[in-house]
Amino acid sequence: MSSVAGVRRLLTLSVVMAVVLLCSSVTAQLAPPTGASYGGSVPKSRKVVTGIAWYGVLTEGLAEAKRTGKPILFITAAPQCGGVPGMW
Amino acid sequence: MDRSFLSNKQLIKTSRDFICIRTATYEDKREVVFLKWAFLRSPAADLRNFGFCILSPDGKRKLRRSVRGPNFVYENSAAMAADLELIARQFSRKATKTGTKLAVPRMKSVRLGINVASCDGLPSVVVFGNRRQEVDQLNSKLSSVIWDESLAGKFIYASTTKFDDLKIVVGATRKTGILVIEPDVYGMKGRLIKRIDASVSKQGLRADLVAIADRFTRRSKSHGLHVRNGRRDGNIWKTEVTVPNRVRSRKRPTPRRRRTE
Repeated sequence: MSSVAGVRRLLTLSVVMAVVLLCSSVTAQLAPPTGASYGGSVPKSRKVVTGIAWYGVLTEGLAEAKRTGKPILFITAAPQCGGVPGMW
Repeated sequence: MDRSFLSNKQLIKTSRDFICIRTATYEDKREVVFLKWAFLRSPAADLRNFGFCILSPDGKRKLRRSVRGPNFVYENSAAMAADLELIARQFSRKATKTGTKLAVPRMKSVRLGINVASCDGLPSVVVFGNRRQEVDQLNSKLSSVIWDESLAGKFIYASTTKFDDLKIVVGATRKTGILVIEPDVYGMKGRLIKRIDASVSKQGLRADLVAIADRFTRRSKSHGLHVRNGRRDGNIWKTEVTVPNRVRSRKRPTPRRRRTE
């Protein structure tokens, strides 16, 4: 009797876990970006186009956010790859 | 991933309701504590190259969980833009109206500004003055024109009072003003495109910057080739903070890649 209850509990747990996993697909971990995409011009464009204007100094950006009451879109990115600059 | 994730037009439009901060990882010792708070679970953990989160205006509360990049949270840029709009609406009453003069979004130094400009494929603008007051006046003039949609996000800014900072710029002289610079492929040097005199009018400054942005041709770079050639030719960047030497565990499975292209 107890083994049947145990199997039932196991089944219920499996169903709950499956539902949770299916619902969380939107926030699942994805692979890191494969190219430069940290806010510059459109990567493949030869022309300079309008883009996000980034504050590069933390204290200056935080001060502007506090002053204007605007929320902060915050990114950190290393301007070098394997020690080689000129590439995110 | 979609390489133009943060270049989506709607996303860029929505970003104007935010203060967008992009710190350069490993480039400022004083920023490390904040970066660790924002992006890591433990202050003892090592910084990672990339991180993304959304913060409240006082910078003390995370409005969205921190991850390694926006593509870890959002399916695509449209989904991100929709979420940003939702967040912006929550703060729109308290936020100052659009059109309020914002400060120039600067990089910490000329050296870093030229490197970041090269990473983004954009021209760099350096405000050069003999005294701090002169730099402040030029930055004030600059801030009144660069937030116009015809110029926003098209340049990477920095300022200095030291001529030594400009030794990496071919063509730069001791004459002060607003210098527009084309970074080289590795962002370690630059070439002066134009020096705009400090006496320029706001309209003149705007017209000059628009003309330069229109004429500027972006380089195309291949990630693998860039790194390989850079190492071969000894183009190595010195960071202020030591980059941790992370070794991926062999037992750890490779993360599943989501197809968005």
